[in-house]
Amino acid sequence: MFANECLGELAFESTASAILMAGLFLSFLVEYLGIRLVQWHGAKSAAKSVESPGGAARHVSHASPEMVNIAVLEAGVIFHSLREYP
Amino acid sequence: MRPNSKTLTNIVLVIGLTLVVAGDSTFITLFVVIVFHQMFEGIALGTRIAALGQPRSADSPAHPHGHGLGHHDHFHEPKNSMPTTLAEELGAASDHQRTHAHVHSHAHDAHPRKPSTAEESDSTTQPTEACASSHTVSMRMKLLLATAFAFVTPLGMGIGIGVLKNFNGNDPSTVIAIGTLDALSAGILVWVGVVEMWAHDWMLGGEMTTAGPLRTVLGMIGLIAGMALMSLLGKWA
Repeated sequence: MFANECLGELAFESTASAILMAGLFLSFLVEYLGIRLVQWHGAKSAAKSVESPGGAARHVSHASPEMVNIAVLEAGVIFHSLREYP
Repeated sequence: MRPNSKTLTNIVLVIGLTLVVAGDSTFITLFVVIVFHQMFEGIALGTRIAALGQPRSADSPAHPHGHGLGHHDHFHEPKNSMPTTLAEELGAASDHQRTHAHVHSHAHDAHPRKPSTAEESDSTTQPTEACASSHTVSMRMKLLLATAFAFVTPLGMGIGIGVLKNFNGNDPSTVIAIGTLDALSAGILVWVGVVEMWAHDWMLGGEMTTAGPLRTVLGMIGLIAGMALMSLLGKWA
């Protein structure tokens, strides 16, 4: 796409690769932060259920690292479905 | 049109598939490609969504008691097992959190391990735990995820038709917008595909890590066939 002659000469040849790496890092960051957040929540509710046995079980929690994975996957698929074909 | 609103229009336009812009001759080809592409993607995403909340490698029939590589067979800590030390508590929490926790299982060896009898009871209670945990991701959530995927492409095409009259495929700002989105989504998909699926499934404690020969060969054939077919579609489009 960046090879389009209407753009003229690119100032930076590997613009597409650089943006690809940005996307790589972005999705890593989202997933990493999500997983850390979920784990932090899990540890907190685990500590709570130790205090009161039989209380809120941490299995009820909706969010899990799996869920974060799927969310990032789905976001990626949808995002690239938005504009896929030349 | 002012530059600002023009750029905005271009970005919106990018959402619409160029399918609606393409001429009649290429339409059939593009249509077939899109159908296959979306089908492969839907199958892939659908299997992932359907498998949500289920332990991925523990239910492999060939290895009902986990694998030699680590202690990642503690997918779900039983509710009644109270961690005794802080280290164990953190370990248990993270073990529960990370479904195939090889990273943790390596760190785990430093922590005091539970006696092997506890491990035995863990793996015996595991099926019920797995069944219980499959309900943590509700059917509603799964349907929501599936529906989001199913509706986005037609929606994009609709928007594309709507802004068709403003389309100029050789406008530099349009080209830049499309190129940036393409590269960015490529990065996201490389991350998800290579790290999350390829590496985790095949090496880092996923379903194929300890699969038997037949399963491995079938999986490898599927992997290569998928790459070949998608490349073919890419060349074809």
